[in-house]
Amino acid sequence: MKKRFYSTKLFKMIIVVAVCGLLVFLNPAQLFNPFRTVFSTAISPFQKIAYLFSLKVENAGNFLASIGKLKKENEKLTEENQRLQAENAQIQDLRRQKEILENQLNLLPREKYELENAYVIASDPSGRGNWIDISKGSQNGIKEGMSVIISQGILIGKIEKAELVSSRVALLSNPASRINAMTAQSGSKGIIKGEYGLGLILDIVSQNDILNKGDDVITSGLGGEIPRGIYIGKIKDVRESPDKLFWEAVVISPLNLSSLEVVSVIKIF
Amino acid sequence: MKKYSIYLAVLVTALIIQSSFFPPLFSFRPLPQLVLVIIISWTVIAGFRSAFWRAVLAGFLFDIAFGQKIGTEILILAVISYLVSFFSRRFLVENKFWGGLVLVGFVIGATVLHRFYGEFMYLAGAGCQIREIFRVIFSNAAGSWLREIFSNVILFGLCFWALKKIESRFISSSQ
Repeated sequence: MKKRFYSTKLFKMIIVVAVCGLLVFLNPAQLFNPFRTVFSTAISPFQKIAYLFSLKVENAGNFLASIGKLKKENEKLTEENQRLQAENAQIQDLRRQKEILENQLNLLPREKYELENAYVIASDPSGRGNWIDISKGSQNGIKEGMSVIISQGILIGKIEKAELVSSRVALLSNPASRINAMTAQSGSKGIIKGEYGLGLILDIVSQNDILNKGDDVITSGLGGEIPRGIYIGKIKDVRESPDKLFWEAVVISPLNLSSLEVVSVIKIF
Repeated sequence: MKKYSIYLAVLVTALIIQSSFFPPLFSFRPLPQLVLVIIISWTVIAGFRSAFWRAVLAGFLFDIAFGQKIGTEILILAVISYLVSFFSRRFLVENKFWGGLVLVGFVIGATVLHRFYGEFMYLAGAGCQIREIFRVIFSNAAGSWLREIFSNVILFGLCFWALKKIESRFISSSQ
């Protein structure tokens, strides 16, 4: 009877489940890191091709779907173009004033960051938007903790792990992510946290500070890891924290994760 | 040897498609689970004896590729392979229509179990209490569960057909 049980499917499954349970509990990450490095190095080029091809397919699909709306959108865009031209003139003036102030306060302009551009090659397969993989790694000077932005100067996350030819970026929506932030309008300081794939929360804001819907949230630069002034998102809603000690705000990021193609890692700032 | 190389190539390709090809296409969450669907197909086609070790390998590569704790995906794929094998011996019938419905039932059950397990392990790993875990899991819109089930069923149809062709080629070449 014993011998029969040892050769059954159930026995095999029990053994595998027990071993896996032990591995998950003990989590001997160091033991498997060499496998991870080799595997990620081997599949990274194929992931890049697959991701870029998928973006092209998605763009083609969006184009076909939008053919009917093109005329209306054209009219709307012409109007918006005119408005933006007027705004641009004002922005040029503001830029000039900014340069004068930067020189006076000895601040480092954004253009002086040393950036390493990389392609997005993979993302969290669970669909929670916790991380993406990019096509540059430690051989390109990328290290854990470096900030990652997109070209418009919007923060998307930090480097969580740098392999040889690829790196994992923990996105802002990752619940383990913690970024020191502040509002651009009132300077109210807090911490940006991800909420299990449901969005971003600006948390631990003092009750003496002011938060308004529509305020822009930027990095505060506290801690020295991330440069100050990088855009994160806009406040959508303000409420008291569950313990009633702080304010917290729901922050909407302008990012569309599914269409990310190229990101920039801030190596030096 | 050639057979095992092809199985490995199928798994690695599935991992690349799931991690890199699907995310931009499926901007709504969650993504179709290609690796899961392949394991279900193999279990039905090749039986538990062969499919089980492929499920273990698939889970190992999945954990390696996506930075999960080793054992996380191995566990659920092994359990799903066992359950599919267990129920297919009892419920699968020769009749194509009813047999097809039974297979769809396997995919639906496996999808729900896989998603529930994935959410549970993720939230538990993030330090959530049990009550909070169930609150977050059941606060997900029914639409997202239905979309995942629907996409997995479609994918299963394609994978089952393709993998059956591959297996029958191996069988005919070994004869």
